[in-house]
Amino acid sequence: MKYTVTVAARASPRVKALRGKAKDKFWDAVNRLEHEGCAAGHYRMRAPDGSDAHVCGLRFYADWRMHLVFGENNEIVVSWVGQHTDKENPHIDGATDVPEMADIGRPRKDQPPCCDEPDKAPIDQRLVDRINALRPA
Amino acid sequence: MTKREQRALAAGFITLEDTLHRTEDALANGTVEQALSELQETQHAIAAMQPAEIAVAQAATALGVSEPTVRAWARRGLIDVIRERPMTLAFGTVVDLRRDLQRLRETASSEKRWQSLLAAAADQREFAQDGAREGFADALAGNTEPLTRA
Repeated sequence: MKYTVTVAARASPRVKALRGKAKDKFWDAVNRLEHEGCAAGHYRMRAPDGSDAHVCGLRFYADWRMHLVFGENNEIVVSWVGQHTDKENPHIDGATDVPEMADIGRPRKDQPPCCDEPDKAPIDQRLVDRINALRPA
Repeated sequence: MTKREQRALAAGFITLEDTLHRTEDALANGTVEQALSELQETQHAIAAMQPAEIAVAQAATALGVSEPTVRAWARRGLIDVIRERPMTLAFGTVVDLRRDLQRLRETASSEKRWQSLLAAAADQREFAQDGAREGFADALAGNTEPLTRA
């Protein structure tokens, strides 16, 4: 099966600005997406608008990542490309002082595969905001 | 404490006593809605009585963390600071944080719910990166371009 990979208009300058190894690896990833679809993506994410949109992250080189939006008719849109700035530092100023919440700041466990259904459990946005506030800036 | 503050405190306790008594009656009579309404009254009474500020040591006890943690959270804006030396904190922001920490601790006791919450927080951070939401909006709107290797 062949997939069509395009880029979101506002992500296009980011793709064009890629250089060196990051650029080569980006195109390797696009090539895999064209042939394998979501199997080439890495982890499923909740859509930022709360919709059921099929959104995934893909790590393609070092701390470089891209976001993917899967549409109908085997279309895949690269919606973002960039270097991930989240250090996932477990030694957080303060959060490790709360033993029950020692996971805050650690890499997430068991990221759902890109082809899987997303976690649909209702989420308390206030607590999500608190978790991110408890992390380092 | 001034005489005026003493009078306000005494009046607050009387209101509290009354509403708690009415809550007990409502629960004994099985009128849950009435009990909830009385509990709301109780919350208002407590809010009216609460002090404006709290010391770091008291806040640390209330939050179940160390004083350095409280100071670190204050520096990062999670708790409002009223005075620097000696540091005193806005009571209301400590109460808000305490409530959220309690709920986070409850959630953390369920591995599945906790991991779900952590994953949602991580996803939110991913989309907080510069341009991520804009690109997502373009993708949904079909505002896309072909990928061409230069």
